[in-house]
Amino acid sequence: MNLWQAFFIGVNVMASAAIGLYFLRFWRGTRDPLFMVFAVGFWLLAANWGAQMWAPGDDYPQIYLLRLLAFGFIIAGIVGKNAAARRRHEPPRAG
Amino acid sequence: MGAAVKSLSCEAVPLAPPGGFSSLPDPPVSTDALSSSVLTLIAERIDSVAQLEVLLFMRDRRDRAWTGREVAGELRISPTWTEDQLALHTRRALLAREGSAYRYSPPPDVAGAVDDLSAAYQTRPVAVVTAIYTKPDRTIQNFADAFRLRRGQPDEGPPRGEGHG
Amino acid sequence: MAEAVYILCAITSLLCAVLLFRAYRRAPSRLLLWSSVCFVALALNSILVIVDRIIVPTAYDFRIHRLGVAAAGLVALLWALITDTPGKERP
Repeated sequence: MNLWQAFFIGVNVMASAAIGLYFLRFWRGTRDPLFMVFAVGFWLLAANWGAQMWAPGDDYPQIYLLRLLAFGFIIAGIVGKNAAARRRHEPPRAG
Repeated sequence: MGAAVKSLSCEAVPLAPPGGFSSLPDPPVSTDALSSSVLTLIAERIDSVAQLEVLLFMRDRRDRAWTGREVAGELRISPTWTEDQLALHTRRALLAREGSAYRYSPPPDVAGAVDDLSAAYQTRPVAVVTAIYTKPDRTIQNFADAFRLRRGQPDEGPPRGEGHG
Repeated sequence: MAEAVYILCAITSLLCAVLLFRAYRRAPSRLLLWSSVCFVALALNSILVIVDRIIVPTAYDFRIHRLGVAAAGLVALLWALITDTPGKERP
């Protein structure tokens, strides 16, 4: 690994972690679980890139499983949001 | 402009499940006293107190259609701004356009919420104002709404327990 | 196995990008546009991993490009978040 790769790994870790923090803040303001899902997803991505400091490539399962977890979370969040929306629209709305 | 602030009477009686609507720290007053339908209405269709005043004005005088200029004259505000607000309310299905004039004409399920909001604004004006100015930013809500695969009504916000509907 | 994961990641990223761009068309905002761009960048990152591992594994190392594309998308989204979200003080 050369210095440039290490530099960009650092950039990605930092940016992903910061983005996750923003989503955490949005979750606190709206209590919408989707934002928590994205926060966790981006932190997992940060971990995914951080882990690459110790791995020559993405051949290690730990690396790509982290990424799988991150996107799995995001998919679950999207599915969850639509399931909740459907549930909310079914009961008759009073008022 | 608009209604005088009535004196705040009894302490807040929660009509919605505890936890309320805004999770931002230290709002001036708890918005727990407002029903979930009112909070939803504010979240979806009310952006400012002045905008609310225009809406309530139209509601109180729904027997006729009003042009922006007439409303601005009554409320002593800028005609261009009033016109914009009336158009915005129309886009949000609270008013109907009749030529160049507007008339209060919400769908039935929303009308009840507006009635509740009007009553709440009389008895708990600070709670209403707090709810308006501590609601999550539309930009952020649009991000969450983007992931609704089914297009349709605006998102109602975070899931809440069943309370007053 | 790894390839399947990256394909899944690419598809998910593209789905997010499409949904966010659709929302941007309806109600333009900086946050929506740049989150869409970020997810496109993440999709490209995943695709480049597959290219790097399978298509041209030894001829060229795409490592720096993968990282660079992701970095560009992430930094763009971060910039949009910093500049487009209001603080606690509201008008």
